[in-house]
Amino acid sequence: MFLQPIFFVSKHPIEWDECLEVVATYLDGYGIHMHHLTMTTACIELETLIYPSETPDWQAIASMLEQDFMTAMTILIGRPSYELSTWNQQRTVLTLLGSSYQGVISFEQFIVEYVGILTKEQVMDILNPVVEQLTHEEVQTIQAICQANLNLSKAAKRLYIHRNTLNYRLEKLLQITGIDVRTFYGAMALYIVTTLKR
Amino acid sequence: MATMQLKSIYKIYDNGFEAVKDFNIDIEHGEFIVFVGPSGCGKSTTLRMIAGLEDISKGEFFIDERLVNDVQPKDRDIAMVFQSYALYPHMSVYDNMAFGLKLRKVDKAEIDKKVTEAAKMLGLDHLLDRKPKALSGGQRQRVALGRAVVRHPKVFLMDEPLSNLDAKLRGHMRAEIIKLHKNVGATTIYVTHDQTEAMTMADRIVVMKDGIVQQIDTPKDIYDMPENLFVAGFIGSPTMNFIHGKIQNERFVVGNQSFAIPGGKYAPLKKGGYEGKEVTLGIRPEGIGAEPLFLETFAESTFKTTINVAELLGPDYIIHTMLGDASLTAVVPARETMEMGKEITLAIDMNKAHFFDNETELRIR
Repeated sequence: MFLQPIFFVSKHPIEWDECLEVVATYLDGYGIHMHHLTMTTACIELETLIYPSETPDWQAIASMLEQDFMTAMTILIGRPSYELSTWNQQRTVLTLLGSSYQGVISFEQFIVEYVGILTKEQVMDILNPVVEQLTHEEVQTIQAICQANLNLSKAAKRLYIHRNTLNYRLEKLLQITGIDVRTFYGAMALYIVTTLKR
Repeated sequence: MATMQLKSIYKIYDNGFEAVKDFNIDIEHGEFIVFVGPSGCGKSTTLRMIAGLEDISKGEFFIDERLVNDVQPKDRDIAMVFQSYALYPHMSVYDNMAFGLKLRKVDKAEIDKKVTEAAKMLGLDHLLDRKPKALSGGQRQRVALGRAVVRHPKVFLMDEPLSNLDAKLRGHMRAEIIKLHKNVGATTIYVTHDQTEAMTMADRIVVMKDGIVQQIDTPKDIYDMPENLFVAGFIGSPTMNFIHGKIQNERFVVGNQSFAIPGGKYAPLKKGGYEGKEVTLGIRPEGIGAEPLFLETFAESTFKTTINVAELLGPDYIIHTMLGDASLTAVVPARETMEMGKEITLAIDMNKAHFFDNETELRIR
């Protein structure tokens, strides 16, 4: 079982007990751990099987919370992980986000959209935990998929492996990094990671 | 009900991007104001500043003559309805509507009264026990409105609340919202990119482009007297025709055609020194006609052309043709069959024509 941290940032202080209770009922069926961080930030951890077939509609949840709690709400969807060490990494992301973003943003989307305005140190701080986990083979796999424009059959041909082998590798990559290279933002984020690895 | 004044409001982001520039409006008690404009024009940002969800970078915002720039959203006595009309799936219609009041620790009997009252007004009284998944799209949207109505706010803010509905339902819900506004009477600001919604619902329309207000006026005045080319082209369907030409001897000359300009229309052109200069003529499709009486009335401004496309709408045809290099759309009654390639004579009702300065794009008046 993985834990996926979801961070909530409100523009104004709100009653997080009530807010998280509402979120929890919205996420009926998930195992949830709730934490308050500050007057304007809170986090829940979803017990997940890594990208379940149906993900919660975070946009709708953000919109409902804005209407009921009368404050702007940002939701950062963190990457799932076995251990809680990714917390610090994602809290750094949260700090960097500050008040510059409203709405729902995933960890991968943050990397893609903010990498240009962050210092190299900040980028390394956030991405090092991911970079360090990758083997040479995994870097090659990510690059092949990006070069094949996310076309898995073409990527498998480039790598001289069967498509099923590629799928197996991608599942493994997802478990290691919490990022799905088959999505646009996932591919972009991991591509940035591989360039850092070089 | 409440009055609102926005005085020289700006939204400037950290990177220097100005999303809203010098926005000014005085809104009266119970008015229904519609912000309309293309995507990214700053209408939702302005609404979010009014709600308090976005900070106002510069300028002053008053509700009932009280400066509220730094007042928290929950203390502004406003209610919002957004585009995503998501409801709490695990709660009944009743609980969805009551939730906001429960959060505000409103007395249970009071909640019951308000929810029942709002449900009756919105025709939801027989659906109160249902869960959202057992409702149709229109019913869900009514519940979303009900969630706002129960709070009896001074101000309603609605951000494209109908854009998730299909065209037929949208038409129906437009009428429901107008009816609701008449019943509740709260000052309402409604954001949309749909000019039909703006025209049919608003007491006054605010047309925006690139963060700048282009015109604030009643729907009729926006339609009949657009301030500039953008407003003229944005409001109205089919859109206004624009023809580039020259003012010569009290006539509008385009290619080898020329049209007499009525005295009332020529006076501002003469006064502005446009004689002999290039301008843009704007004429709505219904200002061009093909019926014998129309041709007779406006005999000074007839021209022959060929139909490129004829679209039958039932009572009318929309015909697409050319005048010189300009493509032209006209709405003509479907008494006579119109088809592609047919030669026809059209006339322009020059009394309904507008002239725009080619450089400033402002209407010449």
